[in-house]
Amino acid sequence: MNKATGPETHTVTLKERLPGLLAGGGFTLAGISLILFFLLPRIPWAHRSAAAAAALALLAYAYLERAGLGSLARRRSTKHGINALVQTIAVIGIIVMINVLVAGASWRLDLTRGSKYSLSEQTTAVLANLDRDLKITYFSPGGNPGDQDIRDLLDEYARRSPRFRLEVIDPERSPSTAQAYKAKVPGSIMGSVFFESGERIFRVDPLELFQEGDSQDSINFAGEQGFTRAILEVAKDSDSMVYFLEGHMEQSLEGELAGLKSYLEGDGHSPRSLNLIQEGKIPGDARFLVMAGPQRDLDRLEREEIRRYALERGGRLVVMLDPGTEALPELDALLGELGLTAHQDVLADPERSYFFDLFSLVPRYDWHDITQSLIDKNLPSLLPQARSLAGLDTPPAGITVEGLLETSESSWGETNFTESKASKGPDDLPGPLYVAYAVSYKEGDQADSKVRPVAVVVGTSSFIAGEFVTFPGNADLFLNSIRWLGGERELISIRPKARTMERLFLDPGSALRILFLTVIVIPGATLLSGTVIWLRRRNR
Amino acid sequence: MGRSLLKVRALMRREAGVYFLSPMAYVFAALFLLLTGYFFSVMIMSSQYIEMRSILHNMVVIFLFVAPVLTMRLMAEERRMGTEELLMTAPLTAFQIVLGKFLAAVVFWVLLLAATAVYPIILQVFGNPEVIPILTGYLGVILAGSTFLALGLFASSLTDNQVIAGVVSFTMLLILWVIGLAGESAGGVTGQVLKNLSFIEHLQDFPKGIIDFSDVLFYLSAIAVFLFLTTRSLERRRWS
Repeated sequence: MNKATGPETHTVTLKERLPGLLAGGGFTLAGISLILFFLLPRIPWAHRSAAAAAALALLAYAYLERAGLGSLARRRSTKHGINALVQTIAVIGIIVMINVLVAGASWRLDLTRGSKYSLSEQTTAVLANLDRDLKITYFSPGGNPGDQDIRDLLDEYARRSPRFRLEVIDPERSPSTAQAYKAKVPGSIMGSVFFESGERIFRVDPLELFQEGDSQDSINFAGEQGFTRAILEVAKDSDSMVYFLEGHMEQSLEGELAGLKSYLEGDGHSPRSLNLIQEGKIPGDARFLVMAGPQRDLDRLEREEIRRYALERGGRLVVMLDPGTEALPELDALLGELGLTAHQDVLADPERSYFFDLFSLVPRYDWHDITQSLIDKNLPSLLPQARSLAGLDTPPAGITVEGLLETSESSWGETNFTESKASKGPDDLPGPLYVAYAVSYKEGDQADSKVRPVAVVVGTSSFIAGEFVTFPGNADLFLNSIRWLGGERELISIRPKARTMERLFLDPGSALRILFLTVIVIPGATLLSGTVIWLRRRNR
Repeated sequence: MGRSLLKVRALMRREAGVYFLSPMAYVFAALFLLLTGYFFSVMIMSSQYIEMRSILHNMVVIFLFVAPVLTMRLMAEERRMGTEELLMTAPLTAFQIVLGKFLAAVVFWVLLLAATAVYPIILQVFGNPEVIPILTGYLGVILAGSTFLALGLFASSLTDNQVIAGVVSFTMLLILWVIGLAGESAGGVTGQVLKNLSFIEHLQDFPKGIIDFSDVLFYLSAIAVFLFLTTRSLERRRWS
């Protein structure tokens, strides 16, 4: 500016005017930044660059006027007034600007044990790619560390995405909201976190978030796992279609499975009925195909279509077969493709059954991703009227089966359906027997070809029908199967964080001593030393 | 620079001395410790959780009431007693005076907090608390309390009446404390701005064990603004 070649007077004027221009420009830019912040909150660089320019202008002003600012302390001031005001505003303005700039950048040091508040890369990516608004509603029971964990974690999510709108609700204070959610999704409201986007809703059960840890007083908090999965479920582009096959006297979605249907919806799925004979093929959007207890056999073409869907097109099956006298060769053939065979029996278990009803099994869980949470939470499943299954000695190439539910040693598979009183006879199958299997499939025979879940087969459909779905472990058994089939465990490779639930164990004596120390001794000593000092000063 | 630091230190010592020789400071310190001690004991006896989060928050809330009392006389009294003249004619800049008085108050606050170190020690004796969140929590509490003191100092520089200074600073503190609640109900960007101005909002992360740079900057900025305003207010009087 000093090099301006104009007449002397002009140069001086510009030089004199420059600080004023800078200050004026700075404040204008600050104003613009503020307006941009309100109008375009989604485009942070807009208001941030305006703020940066404003800060630069004001800093330049402060530099040019440094003599004035420096002499401020020494200046004898009557003409001070306006200048002082401008300078004060400028200083505060600069400080505010710096704060606004920094507030955008997240510079956080998480110093907790095991980085409790650091989100995994996967979650960060999911949040960064969110393309729709999410409404998160947490019904907080309040006042325990678990509640605190959930709130803290949800806060971390909310901090990282402007699309994440979090509401924490005390169900006792707003019962109407709680009631509204109760009507939407089955299961308990208290402690649940609901993720919503448009029509989709997904409930995260607090029981799913806490697992037993390695030691007695430690608990694993799998909140991030649960929440990120919920976001993926709610914010995905296509609906997760679960087709229920009909046309063979299966349990119907509108009838016996109405309860299960709402559980599925609460888990982010869209259940539909499918009549394969009419449609001719399984729709391309089918993520899962469920066969809920067919009483009649499949058509040969149906069987082939289902086989292609499951083994060639990456589909996933849930097959539930009820005991019956009729032979169903096509279904048996399908099972054979999955490496399994179903026995013509009905299981009786004097040891593990529900209230002395031999045929209402409460089977043992074998360890598996599907059963793990049920084992952890100690939730039994009730399977009334089930038949036994077995893995084939030589399963088809690529197929592996793992048993899920097992009856006791003293159980048997009753093969005589006409006997009036059930008892273990020579023709019956001896226990223990399997009631459910998980089937995985390895496509291709290369060493690196991937193993994927392909089917869950259960020897009964009645456990999810009617009221049985509300039995403690039943809905979870089905939903866990769907989750395992959907590969969501792999999708969410976020490790749960171990958290020790530290508690004080105080005997009444210690408690009293602590109270005495903190409430009487420490304040008393402070007061006493004050008195001593005061007395000494007075007597001096 | 070294010389001016020495001057600030000398003034700080004098002011801190005033604190430790005045019975009132002890009375308020005792009250503070009584209340925090009570909250602490009740907390560990009822919930039995080994954590300092709630108690650290309580400390700041209690200090909200104590800070105006600690700061109200700092400037106002000098003015009432006429000792301001002496201070003003001393070879100190207005900012050095302000800084010295502020640091004295901060020293008092930190020592008061040092007395509460008994609580985490008790937790350590009976359990196994996580240490770092307690330390970061104390850092946040020191920063928040220092901000209260800077604000109180400013209020004290506005008047020669201690009581008015106390009431003014308490009112300002209260407004800046609850402004976040207003922000919560206002929602949207306005709510966000109000929440960001709130003294309580920036305290949330420290006791968790997180140091967010923007929170630290917020408190340091607020302190800088109030010290600056106090300096301005002092200068205005010095030459008027």
